[in-house]
Amino acid sequence: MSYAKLNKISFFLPENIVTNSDLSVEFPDWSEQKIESKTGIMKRHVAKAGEFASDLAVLAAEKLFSEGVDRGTIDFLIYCTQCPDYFLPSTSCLIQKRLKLNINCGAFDINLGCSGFLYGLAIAQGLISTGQASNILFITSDTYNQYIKKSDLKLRVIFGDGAAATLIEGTTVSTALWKFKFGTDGDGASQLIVNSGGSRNSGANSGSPHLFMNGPEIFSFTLRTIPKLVNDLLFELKLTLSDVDLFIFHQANKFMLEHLRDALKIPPAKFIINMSECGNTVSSSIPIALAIAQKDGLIHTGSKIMLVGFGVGYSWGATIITWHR
Amino acid sequence: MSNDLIIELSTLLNIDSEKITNSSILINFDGWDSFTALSFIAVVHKKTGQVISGEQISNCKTVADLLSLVHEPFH
Repeated sequence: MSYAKLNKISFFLPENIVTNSDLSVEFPDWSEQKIESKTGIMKRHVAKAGEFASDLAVLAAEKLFSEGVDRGTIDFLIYCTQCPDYFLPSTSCLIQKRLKLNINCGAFDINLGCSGFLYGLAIAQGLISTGQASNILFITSDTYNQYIKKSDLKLRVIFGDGAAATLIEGTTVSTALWKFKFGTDGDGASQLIVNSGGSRNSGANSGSPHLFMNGPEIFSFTLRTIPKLVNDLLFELKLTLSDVDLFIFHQANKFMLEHLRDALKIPPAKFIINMSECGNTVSSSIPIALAIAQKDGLIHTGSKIMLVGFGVGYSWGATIITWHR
Repeated sequence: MSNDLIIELSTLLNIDSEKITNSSILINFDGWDSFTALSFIAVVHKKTGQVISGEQISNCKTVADLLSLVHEPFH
């Protein structure tokens, strides 16, 4: 039987950087220190005009290929974004062409945000373990700043644009099999939404084209849902917190993450908070944090890493992967 | 408990607790915004285990309204 493993991740952040100093000039009531203390973020990368999520996706994948992954071996492409090029066709089709992937590749888009990396991993594992694919290129990319009103400081301080490309390969090592837990609550749909542009709310009924986010309500959802999710997953896998080597949650907000860590009693050394240089990059936040943790030597063969994604939808997911070279 | 909460709120708003009364209007505090609301949710959760919703907070006009949301005692 084939199982899925991941150990190659590359990411790309746009060159254009918006610092707290830049935002403070635009919004004089907010000092650099105030922005940092409220968010834990010092800068965020923002796609420039004419630069789209699919462009970042292609660049992340090309970086992965330049690091030794052979594009000729890719037999499936999964693309997770909430910033598609068009309503149709799927942006994954356009990315297949730009990356010159084999036309025998399967490809599809996932429209999920903060939980997207978990869902993509689960689908990739399913494809591999059923023999449908062997080398899956899973790309996440979002440019949420395209939806944010220029005058909305509360959102501009939080979100950064970016993409990550992850190779998920088949392996016969059975400890690589990942167990997932998921959840969905559409009651939370209106708390993080772009209320126009789709089929609903179009034309005369069109809502705001800008991103709306109810931060306190989303935090409440996180507190109600995530501690239970983490404990339920550990229970099902007959593990305890001390069995897990590293915890990488969706990098939503430093304050929120520290509170969750404290509530779950996870030691700070095992809990990754790595968003000060890039902000909340939505579906790429977990793979970017994972790539940086790998580069920093925090991950070794056999490391058990809990990944937890949660947010827009509401949608959530969690897994524990065992790292293999 | 309400005294403890007012002290916590004063820390979040970065003002002297004597400047906060039950009838104080939340939006009149310079430091009251969605980030402060988020911090208040965190403080209550940490001190009591209770999760207050963002919607409950958005329905609050005064400090008294905010304090009335907290039902569990501080640890």
